[in-house]
Amino acid sequence: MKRVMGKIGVFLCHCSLSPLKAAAAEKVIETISQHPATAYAEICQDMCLQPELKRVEKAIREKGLDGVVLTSCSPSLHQESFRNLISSAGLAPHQFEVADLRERVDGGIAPEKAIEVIENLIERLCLAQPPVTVELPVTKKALVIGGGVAGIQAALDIADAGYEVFLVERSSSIGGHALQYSEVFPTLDCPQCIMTPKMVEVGQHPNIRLLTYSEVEQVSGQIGSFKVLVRRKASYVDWDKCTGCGECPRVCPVELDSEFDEGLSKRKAIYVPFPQAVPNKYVIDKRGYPPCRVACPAGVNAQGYIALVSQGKFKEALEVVRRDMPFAGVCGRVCNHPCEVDCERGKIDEPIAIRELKRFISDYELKIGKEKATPIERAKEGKVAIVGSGPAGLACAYDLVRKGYPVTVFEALPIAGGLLRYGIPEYRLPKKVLDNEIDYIKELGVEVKTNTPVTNLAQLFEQGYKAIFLGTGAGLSQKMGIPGEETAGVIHALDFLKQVNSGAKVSLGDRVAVIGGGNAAIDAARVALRLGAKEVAIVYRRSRGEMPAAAGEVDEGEQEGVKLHFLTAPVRVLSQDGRLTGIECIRMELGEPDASGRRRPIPIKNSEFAIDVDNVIIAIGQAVDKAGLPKELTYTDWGTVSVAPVTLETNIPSVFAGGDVVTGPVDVIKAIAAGKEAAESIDRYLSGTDLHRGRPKQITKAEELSKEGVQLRSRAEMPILDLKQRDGSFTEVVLGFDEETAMEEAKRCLNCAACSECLECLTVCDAGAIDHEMQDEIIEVNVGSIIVATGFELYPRENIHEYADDPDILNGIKFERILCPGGPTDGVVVRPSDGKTPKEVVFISCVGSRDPEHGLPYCSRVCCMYLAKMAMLYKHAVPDGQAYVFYIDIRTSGKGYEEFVQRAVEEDGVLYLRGRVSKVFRDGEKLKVWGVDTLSGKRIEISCDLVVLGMAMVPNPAGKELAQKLGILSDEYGFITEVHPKLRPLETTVPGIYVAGTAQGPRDIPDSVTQASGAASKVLALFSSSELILEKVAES
Amino acid sequence: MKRKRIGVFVCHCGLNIAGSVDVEKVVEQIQDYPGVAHAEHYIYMCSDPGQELVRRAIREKGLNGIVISSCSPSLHERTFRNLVASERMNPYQCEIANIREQCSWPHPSDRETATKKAVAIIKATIEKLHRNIPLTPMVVPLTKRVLVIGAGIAGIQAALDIAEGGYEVVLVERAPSIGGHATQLSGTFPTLDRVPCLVAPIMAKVASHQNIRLYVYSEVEEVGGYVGNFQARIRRKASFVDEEKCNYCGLCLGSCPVTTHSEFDRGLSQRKAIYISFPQAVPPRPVIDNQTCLHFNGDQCKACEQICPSQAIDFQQQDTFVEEKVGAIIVATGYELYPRDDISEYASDPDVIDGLQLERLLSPSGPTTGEVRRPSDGKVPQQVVFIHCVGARDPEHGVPYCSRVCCMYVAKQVMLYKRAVPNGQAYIFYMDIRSDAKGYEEFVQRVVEEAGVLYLRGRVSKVFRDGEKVRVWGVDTLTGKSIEISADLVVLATAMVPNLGVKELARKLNIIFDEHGFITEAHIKLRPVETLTSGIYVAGTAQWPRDLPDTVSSASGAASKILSLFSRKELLHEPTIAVVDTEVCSGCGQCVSICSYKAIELDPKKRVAKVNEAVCEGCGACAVACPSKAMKHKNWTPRQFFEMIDVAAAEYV
Repeated sequence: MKRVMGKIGVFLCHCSLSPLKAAAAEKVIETISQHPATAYAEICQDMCLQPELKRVEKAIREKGLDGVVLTSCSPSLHQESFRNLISSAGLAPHQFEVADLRERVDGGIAPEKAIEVIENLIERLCLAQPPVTVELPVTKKALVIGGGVAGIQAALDIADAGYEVFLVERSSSIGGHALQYSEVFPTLDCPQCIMTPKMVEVGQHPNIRLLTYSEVEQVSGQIGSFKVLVRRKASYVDWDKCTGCGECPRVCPVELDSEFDEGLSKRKAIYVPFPQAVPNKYVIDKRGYPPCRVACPAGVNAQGYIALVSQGKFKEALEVVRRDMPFAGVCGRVCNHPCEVDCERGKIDEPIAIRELKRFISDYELKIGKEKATPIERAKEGKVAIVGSGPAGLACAYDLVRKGYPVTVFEALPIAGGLLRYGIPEYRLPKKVLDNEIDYIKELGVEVKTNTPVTNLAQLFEQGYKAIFLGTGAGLSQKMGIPGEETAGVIHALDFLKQVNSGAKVSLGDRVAVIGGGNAAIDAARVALRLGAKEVAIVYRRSRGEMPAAAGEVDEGEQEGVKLHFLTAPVRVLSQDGRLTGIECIRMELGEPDASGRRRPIPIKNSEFAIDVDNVIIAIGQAVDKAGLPKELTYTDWGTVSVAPVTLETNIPSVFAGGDVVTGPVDVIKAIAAGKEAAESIDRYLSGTDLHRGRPKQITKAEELSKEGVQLRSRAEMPILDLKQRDGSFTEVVLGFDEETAMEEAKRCLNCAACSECLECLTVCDAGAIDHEMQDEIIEVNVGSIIVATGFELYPRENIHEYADDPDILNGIKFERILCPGGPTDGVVVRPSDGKTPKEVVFISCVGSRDPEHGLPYCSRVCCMYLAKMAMLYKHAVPDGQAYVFYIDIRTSGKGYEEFVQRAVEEDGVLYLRGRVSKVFRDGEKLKVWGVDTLSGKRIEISCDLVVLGMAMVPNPAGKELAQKLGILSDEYGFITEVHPKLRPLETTVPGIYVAGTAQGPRDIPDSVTQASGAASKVLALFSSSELILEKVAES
Repeated sequence: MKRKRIGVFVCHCGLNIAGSVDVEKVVEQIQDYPGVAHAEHYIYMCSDPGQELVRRAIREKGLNGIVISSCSPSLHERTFRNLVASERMNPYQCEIANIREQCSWPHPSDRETATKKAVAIIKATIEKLHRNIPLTPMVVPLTKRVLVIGAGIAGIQAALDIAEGGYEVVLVERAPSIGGHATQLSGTFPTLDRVPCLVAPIMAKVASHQNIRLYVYSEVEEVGGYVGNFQARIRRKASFVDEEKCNYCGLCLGSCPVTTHSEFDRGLSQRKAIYISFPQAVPPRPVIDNQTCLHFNGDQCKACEQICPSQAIDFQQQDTFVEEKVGAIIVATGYELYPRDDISEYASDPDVIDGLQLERLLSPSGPTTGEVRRPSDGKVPQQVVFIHCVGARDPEHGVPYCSRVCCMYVAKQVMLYKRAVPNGQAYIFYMDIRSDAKGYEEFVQRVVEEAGVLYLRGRVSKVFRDGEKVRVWGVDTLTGKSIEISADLVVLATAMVPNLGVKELARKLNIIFDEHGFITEAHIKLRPVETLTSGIYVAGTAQWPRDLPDTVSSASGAASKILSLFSRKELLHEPTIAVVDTEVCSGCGQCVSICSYKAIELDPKKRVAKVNEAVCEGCGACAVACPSKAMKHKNWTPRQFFEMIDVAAAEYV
């Protein structure tokens, strides 16, 4: 590389060398002077002073230097004056270097280090190329991040000066924490009164573009021209249309803790955070799918209908079920409810009675009488044939007809319903319930052709059907494979139930054995009892725990008189003269687990015994009857129809299959889910869109809720029919909830996903603003400068276990809400646990702050004052109460602050105790505080009603990530680092990005406001010139 | 009086108003009220469809008066006045009847009362509106220059920010150099930066900035005018050195035979009668102190004149005056320390010094070149006692407030003292340790750990000389024991008080100060850098004791207010101000004395009061004071008030 310079001068400020001994400093100069490129070297007096600068300037000229090394203490401060010096000496900016000697020499590094640093710089200077100057236009728009009091002030100042400002705020309204306070010290103004006008001004300012409910996603560019991507989070409400009328929250059934009131009041899932919100626009709090909905194979929105039940909106609740599937009544009775297994409430006490509530809303419809449904307009062309009218077929038909397709269901049997009708006994699923639901499907426009077996698919295509769904189920009973199985009197459960359900007369002997442990076995046994059998026994080869039948059904069967023989397997059907006389069984024991995870039953040798029976009912499973299906279909190893996963296509084009015919016998809800999935495929197939894209549907599960403060309440019990009344009767056994019980039970729901998507808000929004499908939107803003005003949070209480979760130990902001006249208690001071007026309140300063072992080492600056204020306000509200304040040092250094605390002590009798608190614990109705008065040296014990913690301020947790996006530095706690703590407190380490308010460090409102205005002035100064001149090092 | 055709629009404000006020009933009861030509209610009057309703009614019903019954006028008065103006109505024919803050909110659960009260408020507003006259805002020209008074750190920062913003600044400083007290400091907390390093660059920048006109050794003599149009008369004190000719060579300083205490070193060193206040002074030009100069005290001494190579000495020089027109003013007059003489306990012992004196002793460029030596005998003090809150937080002996910076500067001084005297011992008497900003708490911890300083919580009762030592009696309130320390040096952290003369200046500027003399801000929480007089702002310790970062922030804050102000072409002044009925006015002058804004003067010829419309803020005090009711407030006349009261109170009479 070419050397461009050779006459280098070195001017070392004595100040930066002062830690070295005189001799050592001389040595530095001596060594440097010997460097081949050095033309001149000297130790100067204070280089920061004008006379010396003038002298150096003269020396540079006189000696004809073409490169200069200067030393200083903190180069960030001197760079500019050195630059001026260099340019007035006639040199270019690349012709000088500044050595930051002080930091190094101070750090205990020897003169050798200083020499090394300087020599390196001399070398660098010799090779330096003239920089390229770049003229950058300045985009005269600013971005302010954070809409608390600092952000508001900064935005207003810049906007008032005539520049456009984008104000980005994470929550839906600007205002920040300030609005949560009761009154502000030392003037006791109400923050609403002082903040609202400013907020309205922001909202109406022609130069301010308010981007609330938004977050900064990405930042690129540099001073003068930053490109910022802002994520506008989906609010699910079109703010251009929303008038803020407040109708939607009135109908929203979901109540959640209000963040604004710190959990002391409730808000709805559609909400504005507080009444004075700017903009006064609603957002819907959606957190994904609730666990119950995730667990449901058909994705039925349980939280949605439960929320509506809790409000007594039973009809609307049924509509919510019907958005996903038509069988509220059926599933409300026979579903195996995976939803309840995953119900979050189950982690506290018992799961919500989800299935029973579903049944309740369908019963309610039957009770008040169903209105005839309006047929759906056939908007689509392709005719669809559904073969089989079981749950899979009907669910498929239901979804397709609602999409606008002409759908015909073909059923071989006389009445539609499939296994639901012919497999499940009346006392468990009354026919009128099923009829009601099938009627509903028909009313929507599905044509059902009964007594119409389909044997030839080609015929259907000839009739103009464009797609076919096969949902013919698994109706073939499996055989036991034991001798005597063909004896008369041996019946298959499915045939048995079908006959009974069809109303045919079935006569049984007095003694009946049922083989199997599934629902069909229990059903058959209980039906047998109802038909008059005297003794009914179930023979099952494993034990009770392994029974696939629903436990409740087994219990009910047992109550009714069904005997259970566990660990027993049939070996032979016994008969005499062709007449069945009994069944020979063998005892079993459980061995190693098999493929199903259940322990495999192993016969015990020589344990055979006989049971005398007149009939044997076999209920050991069903299989697909291939005989009734087209020959071309391919099958799995298990004899079920082979289909593509997810899309459910069979090997025959335009033919889909689902339900038991594909899976073998499974739960009703899975069959429904398969029908729905097939409907989706058929719709895509007929409309010519890709069958696979976006499937299976990606579902975001709601994050697990905190269960803090949830009160235990047990699950409502379903009443059941008296045992006597059941005898010989097919009346339904389980009776269902009354309205009041249903509502109470529904209120136990924790609303895991916040918004329940019941869509009630849609019905009342005249403006048509609600949009549950809304997506986040990324917008790009181009600005010349950025102000970070992301504010603070309180130190998390969980981190300090001494102040464990007692409801009467509050953080400061929570107590502010209690004191606030417009707060959740209308300013009446009560304690959260029991609503009583606290007569003794202990305030504790420095909780988590000035306490490196339990929290943070720094002081939070505002707590002394706000505790004094709160103690004073408390005394105003409860004049006969006593307030105690534990403190370490009282810090009241603002205007009027010292006097304010004096007033609290003298006028309001607040007792200040100097000392730390060692323990706070519950003692019956009271809280006990143990502490020490360091002034008297005595231990103190106070029995009080309420404890208020002066909790440390920490930076907003999102601030750290934001700092990374912006490329600015933050300290170990996350507070934004300024360029220089004394003289450049508003500038961050990136030019063009400034900081205001508590994002930089804890401070009170006046200091935040002042600083915000200060940051604004930096932006305004930047915008006063139309372009920036930046120098870039030339690429060599 | 001609009755207007008035439209009344009742806002529901969602449920904010309609939740407790029966808005339909209100409309029913108001629509037949005299003068009401139209009445309706709507869910959100401020929304676009709501505003459209008003627009349509104005056109269709030919309305010439509008009452919007909604929230506080501070929120939407402007919205609706702009709206009616766009329909070519005079904006002052639109009034807001506040039925939210003053009605629905205070009566959330009493629908009947709230509804009745809403009707009364609206009727009263209608009565007022009938007598409203059309008004036009005044256009006030705006001079885009700024006067900054005081060139300490606050003044410097404010001046630089405004100058960088592209506007001209007139920076006035009383002392011969800019820089203020900061230049006296040895180092800063918590980073221990050397102060000259910090302030010298920005001082140099001020001196060379093309947008800054610097008047040092000058004082503001008189200020007149109002926001956008102030005139300031500045006295440039005679320095007896011609600033054009002086080339800063410094020969004069050596020639002067007089020595006197250096103010900069707070009496710890000597200066000459012709002097540069400190080596880094900006501008580095000497001035002659005519109090001590022999030439001005009957002697013929002309030593300096004789030696000056550029004939810059001018004993004949007189104070001069300059007039500057500016649009805004920043007061940054800074602080002084509480006078020690006022605290008799700390008698005038040379080894009992104040904080700034110790700063000078610690400063490498100070009178002892950074070696800590006690003033009485130059010995290195081995035992040093620091006393906090001297004169502060002590209403009986000083000021009641806290000086905010002392805790930290004492900690810093201890740190620097220990570096200078490693085997010395420091004791600190304190009441509360206030280390509440970034890095401060940690710094104090460091001082305790590194410097081994003994923090004693308690007050000192007596300090007295005992031979070579200074004895300090105090109490440790933590152990309850009394303490006696034999010290070599005692350092007093005396309270910060506003700069002398600030009260007089405040009176000239017509701004308010508190009982201690600190400038009062417009609103302590939300308008901390504005004074109550438009166009005048405050920065730094003139407002309240604070440290460097807070001072710099407040200076930049004040600058931003001015940059915003100057972004406009001209200013609009509200026309709802006082007006004199010259027929009635007797010229008694009561209004003149009561006006806080100095907006009224007496016409000496006609002997009637005259309102300076640009200065009047419309507070109404004069109208109340006027014995002959000649002074009136436009659109808020007594008659309007009485008619409003008659209606509002009708039921209770």
